[in-house]
Amino acid sequence: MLKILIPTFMLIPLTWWSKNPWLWINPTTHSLLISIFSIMLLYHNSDLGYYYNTAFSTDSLSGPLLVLSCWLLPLMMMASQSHLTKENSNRKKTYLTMLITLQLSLIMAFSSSELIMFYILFETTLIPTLIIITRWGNQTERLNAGLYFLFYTLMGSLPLLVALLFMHNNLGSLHILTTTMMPNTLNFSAPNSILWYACMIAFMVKMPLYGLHLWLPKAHVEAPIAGSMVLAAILLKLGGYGIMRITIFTEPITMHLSYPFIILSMWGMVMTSSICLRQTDLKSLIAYSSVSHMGLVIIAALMQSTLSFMGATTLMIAHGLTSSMLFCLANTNYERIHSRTMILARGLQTILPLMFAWWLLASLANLALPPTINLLGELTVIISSFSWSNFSIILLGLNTVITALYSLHMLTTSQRGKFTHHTYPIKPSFTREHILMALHLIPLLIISLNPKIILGITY
Amino acid sequence: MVNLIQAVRDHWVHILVPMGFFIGYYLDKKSDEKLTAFQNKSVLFKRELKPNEEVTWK
Amino acid sequence: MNFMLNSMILLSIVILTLPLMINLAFPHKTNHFPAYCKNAVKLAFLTSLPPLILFVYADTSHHTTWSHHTSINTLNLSMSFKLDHFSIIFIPIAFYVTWSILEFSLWYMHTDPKIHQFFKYLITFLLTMIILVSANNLFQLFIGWEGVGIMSFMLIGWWYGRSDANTAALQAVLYNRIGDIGFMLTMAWLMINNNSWDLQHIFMTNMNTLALLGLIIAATGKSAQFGLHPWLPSAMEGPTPVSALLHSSTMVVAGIFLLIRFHPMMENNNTALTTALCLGATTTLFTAMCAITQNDIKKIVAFSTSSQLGLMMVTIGLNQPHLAFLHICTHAFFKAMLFLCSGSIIHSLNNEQDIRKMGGLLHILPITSSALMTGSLALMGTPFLAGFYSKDSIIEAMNTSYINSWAMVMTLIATSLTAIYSLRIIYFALLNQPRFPPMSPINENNPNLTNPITRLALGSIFAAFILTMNIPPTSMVPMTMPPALKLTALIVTIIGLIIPMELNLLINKLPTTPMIHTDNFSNMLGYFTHLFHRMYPLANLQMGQHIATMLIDLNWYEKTGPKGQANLHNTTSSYITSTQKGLIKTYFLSFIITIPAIFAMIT
Repeated sequence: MLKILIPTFMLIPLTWWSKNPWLWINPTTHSLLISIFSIMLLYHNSDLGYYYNTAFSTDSLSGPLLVLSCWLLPLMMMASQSHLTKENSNRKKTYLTMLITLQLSLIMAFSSSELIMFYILFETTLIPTLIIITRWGNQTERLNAGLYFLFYTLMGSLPLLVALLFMHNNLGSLHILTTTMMPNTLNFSAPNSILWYACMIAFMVKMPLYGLHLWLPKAHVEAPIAGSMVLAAILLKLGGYGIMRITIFTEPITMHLSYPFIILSMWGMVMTSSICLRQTDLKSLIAYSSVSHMGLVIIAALMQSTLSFMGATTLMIAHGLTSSMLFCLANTNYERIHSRTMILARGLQTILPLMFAWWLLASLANLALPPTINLLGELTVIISSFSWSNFSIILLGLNTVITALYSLHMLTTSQRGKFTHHTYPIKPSFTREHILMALHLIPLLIISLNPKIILGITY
Repeated sequence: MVNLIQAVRDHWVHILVPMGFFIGYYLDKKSDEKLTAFQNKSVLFKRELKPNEEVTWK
Repeated sequence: MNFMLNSMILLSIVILTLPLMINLAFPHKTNHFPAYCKNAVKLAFLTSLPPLILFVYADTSHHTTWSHHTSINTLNLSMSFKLDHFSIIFIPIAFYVTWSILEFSLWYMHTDPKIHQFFKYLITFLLTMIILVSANNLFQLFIGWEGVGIMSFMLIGWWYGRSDANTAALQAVLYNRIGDIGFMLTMAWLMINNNSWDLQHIFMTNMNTLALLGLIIAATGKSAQFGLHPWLPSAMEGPTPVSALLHSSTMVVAGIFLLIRFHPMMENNNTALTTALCLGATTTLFTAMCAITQNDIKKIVAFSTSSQLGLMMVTIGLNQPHLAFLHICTHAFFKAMLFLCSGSIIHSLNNEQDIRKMGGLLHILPITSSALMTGSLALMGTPFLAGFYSKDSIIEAMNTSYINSWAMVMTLIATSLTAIYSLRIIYFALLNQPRFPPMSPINENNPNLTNPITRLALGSIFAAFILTMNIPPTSMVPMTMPPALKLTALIVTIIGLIIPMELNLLINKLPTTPMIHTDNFSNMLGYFTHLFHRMYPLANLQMGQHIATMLIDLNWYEKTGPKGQANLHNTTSSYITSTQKGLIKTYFLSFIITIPAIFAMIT
């Protein structure tokens, strides 16, 4: 694992000692190299995962997420270039450092083999994200958004710390991969339920579960582009990853206690999707669509069947790439129109035809068009929840309808129609932006062709 | 010559990340060896030692 | 021989992908691209003919597996093709129709600056349609299924500057997606109970009513059956070639095709059959009723398509999938041709679609008019034209079977209505005096216009004959019946011809047409769209805005959550602050009371 971690750490001196003209190019290239190298983490030949040393290990659940987070760093750098043109070089370097630090803590969080360490790194990710949001956000509401982000997450995760310490005291170890082999111990009783809630609530806030999601639209909307990207693509997945990891420790009781959460997230999916239909703000729409998609992941992660775990893992990766791409596209609009209001950017297809192609593909991926990987994820989740209860198909089906509606509504509003006069002196699209979109889409296509690399631990 | 020095001054930073990679690779390899040695000790993976072969763990 | 069957069909599919590949490789060489696309489809059609002949000759069917995609637990997903009766016959027909329509588009769309893109979309659509038809497992079928849906979104919204086109496109996706819920339901059910999505495996077991109803819902969405039908007439916002290809001959029959594929599962389930029957009967009558008062020529043809789809659904309900399939095939020819004719008329009259402003075209557009006549007659089921072979057999089969007589009556009424609206187009567009402005750019000398129409006209005269002569139906078709039943279809159609003629003469003598309730009902599409396109979206959007966003998110969650906490802490802290008045003596005095009290309790 160190062969990923140390180079990533070395990106920081690289950034600071790079000369100004190469300030963007150097870290981007090197992080791209690291991410290409990280693809080897997808290879697993044993069921148990691979131990690098006593602290780090990867298995087929964390591998794809690690590759995703490595992959996203160069993309974030590419996306933020235009956003930071007005800043001086020291600030740019600080910004890059924040991104790299975030990356470091994410890699360690996904690869740590011990829950306490996972917890610590889970919390560490808050700091760079908070700085990115509150320092480089565009409006004054960013401070409020940062506050919401920090407090929601902290409030959720404090009980988790207590629960983890308690469990460590009981079990003697919180090592993830060895505990998989131990017999399950957490039976159904009142104190155990409290323990279970304490374990879950942190991840539920992070995912976010409907009802605990208020921080997310605010943070996504106010964050600069890299912040939105990393939040949507990876930080939310920490929650799903955490649930799938910690339910190993809480095996039999999950069955009893997960019902309200599953129902709530099914209902929440429909509610958030219908909020999406009424959004005027492009970024907020994408943020709410993230909440709705993450609802599916919560359902899948709590359902605890082999099929649903596959669905959850697949959906996390697929949604990571798709939502990040949508945020990038929203940002390219924002940089041209200088507003996130959808109605102000109409008919862009006429002016930026290639951008329309990216918009189209991203929206289609978002509404889970076959044969994209998003469909495979959603379908497996739908199947597993259908086998859980036949009636769930009503809510899930309704949600797919609304998802298709708002995705295409977003596409139609921003790309189709007649273009308005204030969009007349618009900047052409840059090669950088096209590469950025292509780099989102190519992995999506590759894993659509070969989904088995991201089907997770139960594959 | 001056150009070369200038180029080195500008681009020496590129060495950092590969250097980090090699350090990491070396450390990983060392730790792998340590773990493999330990693995040979376990009941599950141990094998018959050849005559005059030393154990991998110490 | 068997290898030839496989490889020729697959070769024709590969030929179809060539234009797309070439466009990817040389995106800027677009001058000859449309013609190239047309020729590719023509070539694909010719390539797919030998397998058809082989099939007729040897009656072989195949399925081939190309590559393994992935396996989830014990479920295998692989790319596999099923080349049987249905796909081998349908693929050449789809190619033939598309070839004609592409040639027509060369003429119809020649002023469009993005004509190459239009052709690319059409080819992509055709490819997804072929995937749908030839898929051997449900996942692959779903790829084609959603692919045609999205391509229909793209093509309906082709003139994206028009907001009508955009909403129509969105509407199509919405209704199709509602249907997809059913498809997903069936996929989920099969995954859980059969553990396979391969058609062979599915056919070896049974499916329960729920799963079959899922399929029917899917077909309802895709084939615009009653309840989910309004998208089809709205889809006429797209260019006419799109209406001809997607919304008459190929995409909309996909739902019926799915049911035909799954017929071995349905034939023993009476609930599913009756549902299909009643649904089809309702659709065919309702849309035929809507068709008789429309004035937009494309809308009439669209509603007639919808009505014919209802008839196909009735046939599924009758347990006669092969007749339904035959009707799909014959319908493709004459309906595509009717659309091309209306496209020709619309273009000649300077984008005028209202049949009240046409008239007398018989003399100035002879080829189009004769094709329109042939098409309408075929649609009515005139003996020995294409429609006759399928439609007459369907009605005979219905008359001789023990089914719901309500559904039968509905269908018969719809059949006579078919004659009415077909006649109405002919009467208003072709006969009488011209009612269009004198300076219309009327010209039908372009071979790109006349050739496709003639070709499809030949198809709608001979195709059904050839098909029925060479390919015997595999399910029982009733052959003997009393003359009254045998002639029902014809009699009903003739009644449908005579009564409106009489009524028309009668009405011409009346001073003014009063506002009639029935006329309004039919003209406003049964008020269906007015109710459902206003109430449901309004309710949904209101819920999204008022309940989901404002009430729950911004009030409950935010007020009780962060803001509530902030308020609570603010008020309490200010309250507590105000009690801290710095009265040190009093505070110390309170110790005098509490400390002894504690001591007293301890001791």
